[in-house]
Amino acid sequence: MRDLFDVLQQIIPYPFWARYIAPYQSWFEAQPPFIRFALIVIVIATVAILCMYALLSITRLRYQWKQHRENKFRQKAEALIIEHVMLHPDIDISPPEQVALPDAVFREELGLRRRWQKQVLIDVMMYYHKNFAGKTAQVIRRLYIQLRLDKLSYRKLRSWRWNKKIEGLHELSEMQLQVPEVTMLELTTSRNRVLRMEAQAAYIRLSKNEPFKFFDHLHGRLLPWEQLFLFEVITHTPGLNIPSFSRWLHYAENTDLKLFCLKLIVHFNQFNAIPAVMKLLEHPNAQVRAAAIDALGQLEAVDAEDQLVQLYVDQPVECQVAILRALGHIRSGRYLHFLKEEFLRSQDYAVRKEAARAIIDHGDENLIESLLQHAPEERRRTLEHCLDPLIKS
Amino acid sequence: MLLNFTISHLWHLLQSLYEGFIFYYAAAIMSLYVILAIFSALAIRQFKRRNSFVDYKSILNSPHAPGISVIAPAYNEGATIIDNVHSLLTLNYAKFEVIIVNDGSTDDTLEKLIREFELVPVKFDYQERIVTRPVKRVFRSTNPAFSKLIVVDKENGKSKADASNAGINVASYPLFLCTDVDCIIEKNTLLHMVKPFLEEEIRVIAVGATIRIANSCEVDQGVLLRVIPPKKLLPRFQELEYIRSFLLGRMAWSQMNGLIIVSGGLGLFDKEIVIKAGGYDHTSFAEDMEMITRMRRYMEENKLPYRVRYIPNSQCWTEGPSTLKVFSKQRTRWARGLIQCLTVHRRVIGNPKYGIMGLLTYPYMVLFEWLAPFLEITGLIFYVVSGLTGSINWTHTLILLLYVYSFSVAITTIAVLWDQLTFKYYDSIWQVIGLCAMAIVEPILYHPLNVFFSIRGNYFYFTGKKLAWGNMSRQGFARRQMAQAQPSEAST
Repeated sequence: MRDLFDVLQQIIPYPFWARYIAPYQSWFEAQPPFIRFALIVIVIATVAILCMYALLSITRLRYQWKQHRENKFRQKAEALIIEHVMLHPDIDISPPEQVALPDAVFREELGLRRRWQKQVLIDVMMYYHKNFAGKTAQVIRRLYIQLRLDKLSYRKLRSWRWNKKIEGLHELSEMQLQVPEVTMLELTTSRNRVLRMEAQAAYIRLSKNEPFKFFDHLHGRLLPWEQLFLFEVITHTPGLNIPSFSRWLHYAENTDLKLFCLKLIVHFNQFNAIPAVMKLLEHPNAQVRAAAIDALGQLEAVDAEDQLVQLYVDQPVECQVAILRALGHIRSGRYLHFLKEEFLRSQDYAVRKEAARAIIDHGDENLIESLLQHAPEERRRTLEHCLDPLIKS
Repeated sequence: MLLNFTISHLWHLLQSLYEGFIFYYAAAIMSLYVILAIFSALAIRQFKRRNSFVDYKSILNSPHAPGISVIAPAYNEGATIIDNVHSLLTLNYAKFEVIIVNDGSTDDTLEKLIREFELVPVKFDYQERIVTRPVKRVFRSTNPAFSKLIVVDKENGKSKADASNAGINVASYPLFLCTDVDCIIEKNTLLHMVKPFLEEEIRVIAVGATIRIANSCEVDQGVLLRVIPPKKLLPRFQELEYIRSFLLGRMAWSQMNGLIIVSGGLGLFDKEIVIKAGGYDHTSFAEDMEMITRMRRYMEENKLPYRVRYIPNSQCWTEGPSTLKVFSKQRTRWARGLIQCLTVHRRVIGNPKYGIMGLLTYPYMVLFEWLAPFLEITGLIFYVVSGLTGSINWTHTLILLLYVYSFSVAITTIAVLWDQLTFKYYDSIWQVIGLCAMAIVEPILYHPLNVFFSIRGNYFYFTGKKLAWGNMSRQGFARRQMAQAQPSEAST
C-alpha cells in the first residue's frame, strides 16, 4: 500500500497532496485489506462518474456545435451549387466540358481550407450528382475535380484505415473517377468483409473492361447480405456490360457464387444458360440443386421437365418442393398427372401445398373441380387454401 | 461462562465468514460488470463502424430478401388496435406480412379490425405445427391496400405465448418478428434486424434489439414523433434500467454468443428452429428466455453451429408500468419466470455440452440474477443483528455501502454514456443529465423495490401460489398536441 501512496505522491501536486491526502495515509494503512480495496473502488468510481459527466456534456455540446457549423456551411454550399451550376446560363446550350465554372467563387465563399469544409462539400456534391442525371451531373463532376476534392478522396483510398478506404471508394465511384483496377481488385479480396463488399461494388461500377473479373478470384463466402448488395448494384448500374453468368456455373468452385449467378441468370433471362443450370441438378449440395431447379422453373425450361421428374424421388423435401414449383412455372401439362399423384399421396404439407399450387398454375378447371369433389377432406382444405385469391402464401 | 464464550466465538466466526463471502461475491459481480461493459463497448463500436456505410435500400428493393411475418397478439386492445395495426403495416420492408392474433378478446377488438380493414374470413388451411388453443377463423382484407394483413381469431389461451404460437403456425415466411401490438416499432426495424441473419457465416437463430420506455414520448397514430425521457419517477427508473440492461448486458452477452434473452416485446426468429424447439411455452412466466434456451439447447444437442445476435439500435418503444401495483405484478412475474426457467433447464447449469450458455450464462443467471436478492436480504438482516448486538463497525459499514453504491452509479452512468455517444435519441443535454441524475437515487429508491418483488416472485413459485397473467392498465402515450390519450387495457 505504501507503493500506492508513493505513486500518488508523484502524480498529485504537492500542495494538494499535503493538504488532502497525506493526513489520511496512516488511517488508510491501518484499515483491513478489504476496506482499503473498497476505498480504492470508491475513489475510482467517483472519479469515473465525474469524468463521464464531463465527457457526456463535452461530446454533446461539441456534437451540437459541429452540427450547427456544418449545417450552416452546407446551406451555403447548396446555394452556390444551385446558383452557379443548376442555374448556370450555359448549362442547357453548351457541352458540359465547355461550361465555365467559377471555382474561384467557391474557394472564396466557402474557404475550403479545412478538411471538414471539403468533406461537407463532397457530401453535397455527391448528393446532387446522385440525384441529377445528364449534363448537371457531369458539370458537378467537373467542379469536383476543379476544386481538387478528388485529391482528398484518393488520399482516403490510400489510408490504412478500412473505413476511410470505403469513404474514398464511395466518393470516387459516385463521381465516376478512375481508380486503378489493380488497387480495386486487391480490395475485392480484402479480409475485411465491409471493405471487400464495397470494393466489389465499386469495381462493378468503375471497371471499363471486365466488371466481373473479381468473380474469378473470389475466395471464401459470398454471404446473402453481400449478394443482395451486389445484386442491387448490378441490376441498377446503367450501361453495365452484362456477361453470360453461366461461365461461373461451370468453373467457379465457390457455392455462394454459383447461387448468386443463378439469381442473375434468372433476372437477366439468360436462356442460353439453361444447359449449364441443368448440369447443377447433379450438384452434391442440396441448396445448389434447389436453386438450380428454381432457376429452371423461372426460365420456364420445358426441356428440363423430364429430368426434374426423374430426379424427384431421390431428393430431399427442399428440392422436391422446388421441382413442384418449377413444374407449376413451366406448365407444359405433361406432368399434370404426376402433380395430382403427389398432391394426393404426399404426407408432407409443404409438398402437398406446392403440388396444389402447381396444379392451379396449370389452370385445368376440370381437374381442380374433380379434386375439390373427390379428394380427402385434408387435401381439399389445402387446395381451397391455395385457390383462395386473398391468401397469397 | 464456557457456553457464552462458545456462542460469542461462533457468532464472530460466522460473521467474518459471511463478511468475507459477501465481499468476494460483490467483487465478483463488479468484475463481471466491468467485463460486460468492456465487451459491450467493443461490440457497439464494431456495430457502429460496420453499419456506418450500410445502404438498406438494397434489402428494401431486393426480390431476394427473406420474407418476415410480424406477429402481434392482441387481447382487449380495442382502444388502440386500429392505430397500432396501421403503424405495423407501414413498416419499411419489401416482403412482410402482419399477423394479428386476437386471443379471444372480450371487447370489440375483432369487430373494429373487421370494420376498419375490410376483413373477410378465408379458407385458411391451418397447420398446427405447435399445439395451441383452437383457432376459430382466419381473416384477410378485401382491400388490396391491406393485403399484408392477416387476422387470426382464436380461443383465449390465457397467455401471450399461446397466441404467438398460433401466429407462428399461420406465418408463411422463414423469419418472424414477435412483438406486442401496443409497442411502437421504428419504421426501419425489419431492415435493421434482418441484417444479422444475412451477414453471418454461421446460422443466426434469433436477433434482439433495444427496447425503450415510451411513457412520455410524443406519439401520433402509432407513430413515434419525439423521444422524451419518462417524466414520472417509476417509468424513468425503468428507462435507466432498460438502457443498462440492453446496451450493457445483452450487447455484451451477444458479443460472447451467450445471449439467452430476446425480449418478447421485440425479437426476430428463425421459424424453422422455433418450430423444431417447440415454440413458446405457454406455462412459462419468462417465455422469451425459456424459448431461446430451448432453441439453443436444440442447436447444441444437434451439434449445429449458431448465433443469437443483438443490435444496439433502439427499435421499439413500449409503455412501462407507471404505478407500483402494475410494476409489482410485472416484476413478481419476471422473478417467478426466472426461477421457473432455471429449474426447468437445471441440466444446462455448468454443463459443458451446452457451450457458453451452460458454462457462463446460466451460472451467471443463478449466481448473480437469482441469488443476489436473497443475499441482499440476508445482508440487511445481518446488519440489523450486528447493530443490535453492538458488533458493528459503523465506519466500515458506511465504506462498504459507499463501495457498492458508487460502483452501481458508475455502471449505470457508463450505460447512459454508451447510449449517448452512439445514438443520441434525446434532443437536449438536460434530458440526458436528468436521466443520469436518476442513477444517483436509483440504488436507494428503485433497487429495493426490485429486490422485494424478486423475493415475492420466488415465494410465489416455491409456495405454488397462482399468478395470473392478468391485464396491465396502460395510460396511453402523449399524443401530438398533447391531447389526453384514452386509457386502454392490454395483456401483459
